Amino acid sequence: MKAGRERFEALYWRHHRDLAAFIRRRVPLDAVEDVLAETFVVAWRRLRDIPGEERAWLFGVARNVIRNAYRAEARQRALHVRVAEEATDRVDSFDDAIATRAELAHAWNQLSETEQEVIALVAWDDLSNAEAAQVLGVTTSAYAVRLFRARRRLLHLLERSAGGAR
Amino acid sequence: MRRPLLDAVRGLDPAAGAPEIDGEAMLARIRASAQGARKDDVAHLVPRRPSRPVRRLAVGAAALSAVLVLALVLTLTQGGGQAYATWVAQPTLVPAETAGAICPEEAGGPPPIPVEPVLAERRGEYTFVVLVGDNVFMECLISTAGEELFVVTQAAESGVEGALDLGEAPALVVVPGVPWDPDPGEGPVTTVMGVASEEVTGVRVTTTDGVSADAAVADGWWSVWFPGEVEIDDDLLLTTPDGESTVSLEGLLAPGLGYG
Repeated sequence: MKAGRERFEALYWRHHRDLAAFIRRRVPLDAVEDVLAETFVVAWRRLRDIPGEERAWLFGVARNVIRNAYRAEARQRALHVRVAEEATDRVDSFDDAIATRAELAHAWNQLSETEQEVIALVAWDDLSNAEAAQVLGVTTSAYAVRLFRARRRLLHLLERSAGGAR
Repeated sequence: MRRPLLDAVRGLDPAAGAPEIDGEAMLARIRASAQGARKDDVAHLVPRRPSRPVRRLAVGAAALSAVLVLALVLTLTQGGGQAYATWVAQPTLVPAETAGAICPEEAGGPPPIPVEPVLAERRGEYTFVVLVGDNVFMECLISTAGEELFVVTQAAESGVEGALDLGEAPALVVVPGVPWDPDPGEGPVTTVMGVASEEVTGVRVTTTDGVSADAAVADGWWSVWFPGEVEIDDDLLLTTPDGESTVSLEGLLAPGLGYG
């Protein structure tokens, strides 16, 4: 029992910040702590079942908690971003350097919820493809294909948006 | 390898700069909550494992594949209105330089990078060409159905430096089964391609529906495409002078291309 508690607390301290950020991107601020607590209660109850890829497993639990509790209430923030229209600073790291942050945000918000989630898992949550696939419950190659398509669509929306703005 | 688009998206992170939670207080809350929860209360919140394609019994695999391929070819060739009706599972290698003459001469960029055709394979009335340049590769599907050749669709992947290094692997997968829906084509197609060492003489790719097709192999590259938007099975059959071996597609994904 003591060993279990120690393992759980080590797990908690390793991942609670990343997990809180993952949740913060997906639910209103006042719900973050509720989801975080419920996720770790699940982890405590299923401590023996947690696989080696514990971070991806925890994110998967949090995703299920959010879907279970918040989808029906339409309270999910759905990974939308708010960027002021006057945010005209160039996105430095983007190869073409043609898009402003506002254009990128506009293109991002036109993606479907599924497309946003596929990209957000690697871009915001800093997961590997294998971890992101585990969060979604699909194979790595299936995830890779989804990511390829989502990136291509975002590029297409961005090119259209940036082209129209010029 | 950098992924510029993802780097740019990273800058939109809505959680950046958010206040930290009180870690000790949260842990105390979790401990208190955990006392009251029953183990079976949480089963529906545990992530499901990905479903894997059912692996066929080795004894029946070859026969089953052959039957399915034959059935597909018969269906496609006798169906009249079927999309890509002339597609066949065994390609014919054609001279890459000639076939690729109508494909783009440059890709990627800016600035655009010159590309050269390295592999061209014909399946019925369509020819698929792989073009390669410095740090870039390109797929180009050509229709030869009518009197006039035209490019049905093309796609390039740039920034591939390092991703094509085989190391100890006999082959790598650089496109793991990506569907396209070209406007002037006959509907979606799904492409799989990669690089291979000199000892690899054959690559057989199978869909999760059980349709197998042989890749064309030339000049260190291999490619195959299927009519329709299909899911690719994880098993690849490689042929080398030592014989045939089944390897995992997922295990051969080229690093750094957003797949691995």
